[in-house]
Amino acid sequence: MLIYKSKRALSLVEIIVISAIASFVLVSIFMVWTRTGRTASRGGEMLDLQIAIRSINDRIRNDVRTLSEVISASEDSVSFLAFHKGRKVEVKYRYDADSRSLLRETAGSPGVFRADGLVTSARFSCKPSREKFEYLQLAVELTSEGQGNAPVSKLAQVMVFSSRSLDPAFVEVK
Amino acid sequence: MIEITLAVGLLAAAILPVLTLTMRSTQQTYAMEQHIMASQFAAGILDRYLAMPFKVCADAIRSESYPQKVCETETFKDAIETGESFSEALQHTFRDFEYEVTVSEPSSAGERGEMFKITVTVSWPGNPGAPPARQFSLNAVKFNENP
Repeated sequence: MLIYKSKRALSLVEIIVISAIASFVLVSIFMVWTRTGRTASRGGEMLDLQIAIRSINDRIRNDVRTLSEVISASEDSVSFLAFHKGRKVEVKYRYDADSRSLLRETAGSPGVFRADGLVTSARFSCKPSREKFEYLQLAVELTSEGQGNAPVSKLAQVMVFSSRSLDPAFVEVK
Repeated sequence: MIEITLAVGLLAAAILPVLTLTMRSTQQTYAMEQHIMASQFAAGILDRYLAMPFKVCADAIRSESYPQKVCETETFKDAIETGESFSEALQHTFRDFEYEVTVSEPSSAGERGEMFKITVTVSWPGNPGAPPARQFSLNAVKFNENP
């Protein structure tokens, strides 16, 4: 024998409250999801920029350490003679604004850094002057490619590279 | 009603660690960026001093007063003038960075004129505006070319 128990249904107010709470929960989950995704991609972009700036720094530091003579210098390129495996080789660094790349050329062979497409600004300067070269200064700005409407990440650095292969300046001894 | 409230509370408690983890991951990436930038700056300063002749190098370090703001160095001032966007990105990273260069003489009198140790220390705060709490050091020994 079936026993029917009277059970009251949910009232309209209760349904509205439940719907409000459910939508609040869903919106929160969606926001957390979006934020996590954005942070993860931004973190990845920042890491890419850090790796790029590190590779630029290491590569140029290695070359300039054996620099013996600056051939030419302008704001977006510098060319010098450096010792490579015991012989003098011409090394040229050039910033290409169109491809947003920093190019390294040695004896006619072009080479692109890993920072290909990330360099939005690069400025070389020989200090205090090209003739009295003491160190090379590179001001570089890297910008991530960005995804969708997300803001891009930027990284700027001023690097200083000195040579250990320059002839010492002769000082008058009194 | 109580069940729903409990469910929402539990969900919020479950989301909280995910949010914390996300924030922590961002902070770690930023901290790593600062560390890399500090190491590159220190390497540049150290390289410059090592490229100088022995006597000139010692005099140059001793003539400066430290600690100094990284943004106020000659190289940074020059680069900041490049452009507004560049200057903004540069100051975002280096605003609170300070550096110090010290010279340590060898303890034995016989070695004193032959070498000294250069230490470049870059320090920066963990959080913007706080006193410097993190630091990166680079050391090198400068030998006298004409002992």
